[in-house]
Amino acid sequence: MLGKRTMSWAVLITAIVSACALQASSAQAQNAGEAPAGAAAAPAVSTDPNREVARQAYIDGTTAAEEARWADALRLFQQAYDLSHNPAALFNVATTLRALGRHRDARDAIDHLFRDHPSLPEELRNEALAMRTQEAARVATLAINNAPQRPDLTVRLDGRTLEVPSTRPIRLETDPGQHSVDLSADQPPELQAFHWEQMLADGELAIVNVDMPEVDHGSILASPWFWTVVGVVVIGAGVATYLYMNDKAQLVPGGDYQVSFPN
Amino acid sequence: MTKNLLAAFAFTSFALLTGCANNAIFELQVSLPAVMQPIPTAPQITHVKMQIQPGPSVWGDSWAVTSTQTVGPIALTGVDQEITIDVEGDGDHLDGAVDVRILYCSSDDCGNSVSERWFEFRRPFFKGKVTNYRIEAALTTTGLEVSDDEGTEPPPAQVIDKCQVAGCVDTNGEFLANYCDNGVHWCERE
Repeated sequence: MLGKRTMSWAVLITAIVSACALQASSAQAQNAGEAPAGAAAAPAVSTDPNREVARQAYIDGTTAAEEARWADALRLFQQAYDLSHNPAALFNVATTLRALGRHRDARDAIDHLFRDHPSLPEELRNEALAMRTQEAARVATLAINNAPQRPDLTVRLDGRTLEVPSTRPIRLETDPGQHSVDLSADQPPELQAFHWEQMLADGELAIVNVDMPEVDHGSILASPWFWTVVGVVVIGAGVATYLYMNDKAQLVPGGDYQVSFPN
Repeated sequence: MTKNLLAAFAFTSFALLTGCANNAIFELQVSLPAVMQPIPTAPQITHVKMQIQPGPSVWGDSWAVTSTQTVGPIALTGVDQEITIDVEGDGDHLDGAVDVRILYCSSDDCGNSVSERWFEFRRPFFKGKVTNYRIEAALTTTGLEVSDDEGTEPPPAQVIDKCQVAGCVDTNGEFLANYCDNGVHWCERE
């Protein structure tokens, strides 16, 4: 599956790069001899050292993508974009994120593309719009209900601490797959930690109902020491009561005169 | 749940610990006469002393044993009076007898009795119970006729059987002739 995706992806890159390279370096003549095989429209050579580095990163990213080395491709395309601000590089970042299954980041990268490059070539714009629609549809959402409104509330998604919004329910976007949510509040009164874990499908909206009762630290009934003391007290009281009642239970002579026989 | 267990434990403990008296009380109600001189030849009776001890006793001069408890001498007055003596029994004494010796005296130290009356209660104690018996201790001429001063032996001890000892049945203050049913005292039934 990755192989087919790689092929179409490479074709798209070729087209996009052809359009964008000229825009990025209009003053420079295109040097076809420096383009990677099958990618004749690599960014043009520039006298700007950063631009040259960007161009090389772009070419290397393309190679990595063709070889399905997505992590390398992402790093190289991101480097190319950071140095050149070339929208083709950013589009390829989004495409690579999609290949990595990072649909939410891919969608955001497209949004970034539209925001920072409002004058995209039509072909690239159309491709980007289509991709955004597809990626946005695959983003899963967690709606966390009943999260306590406390300043010490900590929310972790897959172990990563998030900034807790003030609105409820808390809505979290993530990619499809296995995810976990953990909530905790450690300040007094401490709440029991909440953990949720589930596999999310493409575009799924999962409702997470949080239950975080107060931790019953104060319950002395849970302490074995308490019951030890209770036992000692009860036994002691029993013995004392026995001695006392045994004495009190005895009949007490009254009358005008008392006679008692020594036993 | 825990509170209920504790409450049950406390209640059971209290129930077990109470009502387990090991002693018994035998209450003697003694009716004493006024100062009197029943016959001209006898000195005036001014005091009464009672000696009480576990029985059975050898009546006579050997009566005075170390376990004897003494009540009095009690000065008689111009009118009859009634006193109550509570005798507490415990341990081995519960199944034994109680002997009572009443001495009628003409002096406040009761050094020499003018007359005596002897009682032997065969079984006055019942563990954890209060029993009683009423003694009409009025001096009689019969007592004087058999007193030591007359040179004769005292009359034999009046034996009080356990069934004559009151207790463990409500009689509205009346004394019955018999407190047993088929030879079993009411205090033995409970």
